[in-house]
Amino acid sequence: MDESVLVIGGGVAGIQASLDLANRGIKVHLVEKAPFIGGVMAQLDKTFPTMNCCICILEPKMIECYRHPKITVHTLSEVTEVGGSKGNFKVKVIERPRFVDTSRCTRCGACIEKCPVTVPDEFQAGFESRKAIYIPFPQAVPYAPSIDKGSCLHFGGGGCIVCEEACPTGAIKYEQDPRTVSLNVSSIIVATGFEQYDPKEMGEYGYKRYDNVITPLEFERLVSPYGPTGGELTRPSDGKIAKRIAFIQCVGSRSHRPGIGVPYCSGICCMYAAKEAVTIKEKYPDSEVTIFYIDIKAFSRDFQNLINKARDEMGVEYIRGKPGEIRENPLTKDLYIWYEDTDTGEIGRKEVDLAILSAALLPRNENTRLAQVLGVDLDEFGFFKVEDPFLSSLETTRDGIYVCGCCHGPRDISNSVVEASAAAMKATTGTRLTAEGSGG
Amino acid sequence: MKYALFPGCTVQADQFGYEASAREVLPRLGVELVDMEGSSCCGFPAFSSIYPSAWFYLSARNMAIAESMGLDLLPLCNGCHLSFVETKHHLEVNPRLKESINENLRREGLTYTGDVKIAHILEVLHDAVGVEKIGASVKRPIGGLKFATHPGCHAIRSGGLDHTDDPENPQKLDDLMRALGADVMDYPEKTDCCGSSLAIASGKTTLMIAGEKLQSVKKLGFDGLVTVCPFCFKVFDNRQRAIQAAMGDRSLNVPVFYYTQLLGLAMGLEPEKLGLELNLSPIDPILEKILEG
Amino acid sequence: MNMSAESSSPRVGVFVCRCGVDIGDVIDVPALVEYAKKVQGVAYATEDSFACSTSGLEKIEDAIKRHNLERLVVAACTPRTHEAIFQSACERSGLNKYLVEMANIREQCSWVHRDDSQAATEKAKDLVRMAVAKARLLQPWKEPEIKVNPNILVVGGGVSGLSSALSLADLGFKIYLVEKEAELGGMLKSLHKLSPTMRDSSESLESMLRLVEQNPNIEIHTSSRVKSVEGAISNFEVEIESDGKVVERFNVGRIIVAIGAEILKPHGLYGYGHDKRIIIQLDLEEKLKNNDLKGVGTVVMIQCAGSRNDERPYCSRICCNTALKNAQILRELSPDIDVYIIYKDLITYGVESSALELNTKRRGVKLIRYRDESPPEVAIEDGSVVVKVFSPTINEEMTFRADLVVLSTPLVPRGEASELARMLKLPQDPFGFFKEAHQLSPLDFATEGVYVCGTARAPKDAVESISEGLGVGSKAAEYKFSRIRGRGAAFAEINEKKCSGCGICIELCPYNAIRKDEIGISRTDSALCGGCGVCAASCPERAITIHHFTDDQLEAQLLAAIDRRPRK
Repeated sequence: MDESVLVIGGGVAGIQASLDLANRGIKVHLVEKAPFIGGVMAQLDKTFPTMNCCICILEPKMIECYRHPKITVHTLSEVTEVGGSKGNFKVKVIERPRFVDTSRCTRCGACIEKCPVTVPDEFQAGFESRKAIYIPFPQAVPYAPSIDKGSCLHFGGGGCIVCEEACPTGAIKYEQDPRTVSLNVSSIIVATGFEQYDPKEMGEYGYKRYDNVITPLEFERLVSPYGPTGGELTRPSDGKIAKRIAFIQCVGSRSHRPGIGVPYCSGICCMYAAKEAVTIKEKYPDSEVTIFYIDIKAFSRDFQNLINKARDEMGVEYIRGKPGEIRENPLTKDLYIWYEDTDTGEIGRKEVDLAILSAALLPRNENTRLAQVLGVDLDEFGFFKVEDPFLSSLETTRDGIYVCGCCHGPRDISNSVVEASAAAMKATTGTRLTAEGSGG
Repeated sequence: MKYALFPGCTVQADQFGYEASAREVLPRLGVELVDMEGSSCCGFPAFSSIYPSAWFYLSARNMAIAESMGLDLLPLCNGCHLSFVETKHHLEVNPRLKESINENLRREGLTYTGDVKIAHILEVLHDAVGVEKIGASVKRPIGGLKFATHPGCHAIRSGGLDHTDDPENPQKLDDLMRALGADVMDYPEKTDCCGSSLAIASGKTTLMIAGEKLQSVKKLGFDGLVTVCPFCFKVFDNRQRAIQAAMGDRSLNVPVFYYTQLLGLAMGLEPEKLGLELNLSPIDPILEKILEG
Repeated sequence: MNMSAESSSPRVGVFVCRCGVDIGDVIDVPALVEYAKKVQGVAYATEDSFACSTSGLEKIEDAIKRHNLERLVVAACTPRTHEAIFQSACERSGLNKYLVEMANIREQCSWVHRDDSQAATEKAKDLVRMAVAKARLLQPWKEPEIKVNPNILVVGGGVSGLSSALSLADLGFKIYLVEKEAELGGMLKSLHKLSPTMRDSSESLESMLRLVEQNPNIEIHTSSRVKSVEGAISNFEVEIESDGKVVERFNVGRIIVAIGAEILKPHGLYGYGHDKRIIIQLDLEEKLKNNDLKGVGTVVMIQCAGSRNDERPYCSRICCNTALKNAQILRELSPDIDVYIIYKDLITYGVESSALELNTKRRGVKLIRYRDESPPEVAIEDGSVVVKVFSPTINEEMTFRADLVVLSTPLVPRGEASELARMLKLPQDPFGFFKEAHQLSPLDFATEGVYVCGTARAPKDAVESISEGLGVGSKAAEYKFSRIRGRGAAFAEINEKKCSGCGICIELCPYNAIRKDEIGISRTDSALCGGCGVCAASCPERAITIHHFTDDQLEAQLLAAIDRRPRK
């Protein structure tokens, strides 16, 4: 049997693992739930600490992955069954239909233009809408439309065929059915990533009550040149450019309140806040940015440099003290933040235009289902469990199934990518290289 | 709906307007109020500060009386309400304390089981009666007036125990005001305390705390403040002139009402029936507006 | 792979990318396309919103076939990130992948001239014209095939090197494992217990060492160091020495550097070196191993000792975890040992962080914060070690009489790192840690075929070192020719008739790709050449041609730059 590996999750970690394997001549099946690969990184504006444009550095990898002769990318797909054992897993994958025949589609966009349904665009964090038939974002890989069955009138029993009529090449195919694919793989790599904590349950910060309190993913879309505002940091309530901004760290992380948040440190929020603060200062040098923190976790290469740059060069104010409450002026929608500066003991009240809650990184909700399908254990927080990270690096509780990236705990992009390569190695040790051995 | 009514000391001492208006509006909404024989102070805040077991005893005793009446307990005061709720919790987790209290209660022929439910007037009006029914009973809507709601700390901050409304975003009193046709608006100081718990330790602080809240209410353009707690009302209304002195601001005039008073007005009742002559804050212009319709 | 026929006037296709709004909002793209059509040599010109998208690339491939294009010019963003993508588009349509030239009209045009659309468009026209002029002179090139060298050198026998060696050995590679000490194991030999499992360090190491010793594919050389490295990827000639003498020579295809790091001994800092009661965490690990804590009643640990300061602004990642772990162990040994940790920021992270912090605090370890501006002071008073620190939390100065002061000092690169860096031509960061190529390629390095893993790259713990060792294993096992850094077709060719044998190019070549042959003429190995051009620029005889950047091609670009007439 030609060995092949299943990679679940098409974010940066899944993509890297797939590329590593494929570049060693090993066949890869990359299964991704969304209609595109790229994961969360595709939604972000810049990386830390280098301030590289995320989509610019990710895109070549996405394209290389998608077009690699050894990698089969299954988008809109999920793993439903895993039987067998290491060396010989029998996997069932359900591929959901796009309802678009991509071989006929010319990406002219007529279907999207004519579609009468608008729904909030989840890629743009709800700040914009999209149609029921849509391409997720301009650099999406694959760059092809798909119909969101849940919002589509046709599938809602409405009989709408506007997109079919608009399509000049007959590429709309409502009759496409989900397809179950059976795969035989020797090992499996889980790279399903994380989800962002929803700070709504922390009522004192007013998320979803106050228009101008937002999460980091929402911020990333606002400052992205491909976002709803073309990169202008305008605040949700009135579209004014936000000039006074506050970041509140550890929202949802390091929480020992029963039933609220998680007790662990999410590791990357200090850095993404610094990165976002620097982004703001670069765009608007006259802005006032304050970061309310508990500890500054700057533990990787050049992390401390970025903090120093933000604080010492660009004038970002760091106040040690987690605010107790955010309040809103009902007329102006400005925000007031009450805080104690624990270094000086002073109580203060800061008025800002916009507040960003640095939200925790949580395991995905789907982990429960996926863990059951895979027959592996989750840890106490719901992340995939690695029994012995020292002796059995990146191994789950089932032989032959490995993890990398945030699916087993929060970590940054660099570490996720390192682990992806490591997992690719684990997935194939004990097995020989395939015959295609010429080349460097 | 039938409740044992527990007015509480403050109401019986000088907040007659609250009791009068409550006794007028509640029965009209199908809520029967039964007086309690032999009830006493609930023990908050004096006993709770210095002699907790006496406090528990007093509160438990009142609850036992309600139990003997076979009714749930409806205190009019936020403080009394939280006192009962906390006492219930303490006696539940401390059976020995409960037993020692019952030993004493038995001498009066009373027993505290802990089965009694403690209702809050906001819950009764918002959850049990419902805003729709209240809206239907409105004959003289309070249109064109904007009120700042002050639910009061003891109603919303119950430290993990059952609270009457969301501690960060209480909306029940707002809903009830909308049912009367009034405008409401969230404001930053909505959940701020009235300060009255400090009245004995530092009276000036109480006045400053209440004064800052009133200043914000005025600045934001509200027509008045509405509350459901006699402690809070006492500070904001009865002591408004003292607040003005403490803040050094004689123009700090804010009309203050009990919700039941506004409800009564909206239902078409006469102001005299609602004890409005006892409100010391400058309510007359607002009262006129409401009466004119 | 088809090579295009050599024609005197190859048909050039020009694709102008809008890059969404990045280019399209500043440059008049339709005008640029129309202009391109009139440039000499251009057979076809069009635009696209995102030329690099899967549909954009399909359009390019389609156009190449349909219009028989023989050269491709893509006017878009930077070749640094995207050249490889357009090269692959050429390949898929049967064109040699090196017949594409990019004109950077984004970073070098629309991004820097946002305020003057007209001027930006004119400049874009110049850039396109220049790119076309060069493209017409581009020649196809075939990558040389290099056989897989089954040997790999791993320098360093700590956990990172060991995990790398084991995984590659399991894939069938022959590993030469070189370790400078007499025993394998590296840093973990000196440690007591590992966080968060609290497993014994030596025991954990044991199981790994047994696997390594039993593996028939791993040849171990202890008490040995690398003396010299010549050659390049797939063909490194390595000499190792022991006791000052050269003892072995290997030929390997890849080299993995896993030499680890050492813990800073900060002489003079907080009195270290002046009193044997002032030690570093590594010393504490040894004391714990040997149960050598008699008479110790109060232990004060000072974090960020010698790091996160002006001299070493970096955080060493593991010191807070180490301190918390050791503090727990001390408290478990005896409740009579008081432990205080004086810290600046408590840098724990990840899912283990909460348990680590809680367990430490529950065991009664006291954590005291200090501010950057007022670090703790350590002095000897009346024979006792006294630690004073101002706590902003309680707004008071605190004083401790310590039986032991433990400094949590950072990991610093080993002395031999620089030597190795020079030998292997690997860049180091300002502190001496080896630096990777790029954020999204953290396991690729400047020299092809050489990888660095573990603490030699940056401070990290054992678990992270192990996964990094595996990660570089994955890179080392790749068989395809390098895809790093969008390497182009540029390579040097030396005209033997012009070469005077001065040898300047050999000294300067960063890829070790030039050697003198038997008669003293410089010769390049095109497989190793990185196409940087340094040799050509320095050759006093002008004997070296850089293909893909030939004098002809560059001259054509220059002329095209100054001659603005499209001339068709």
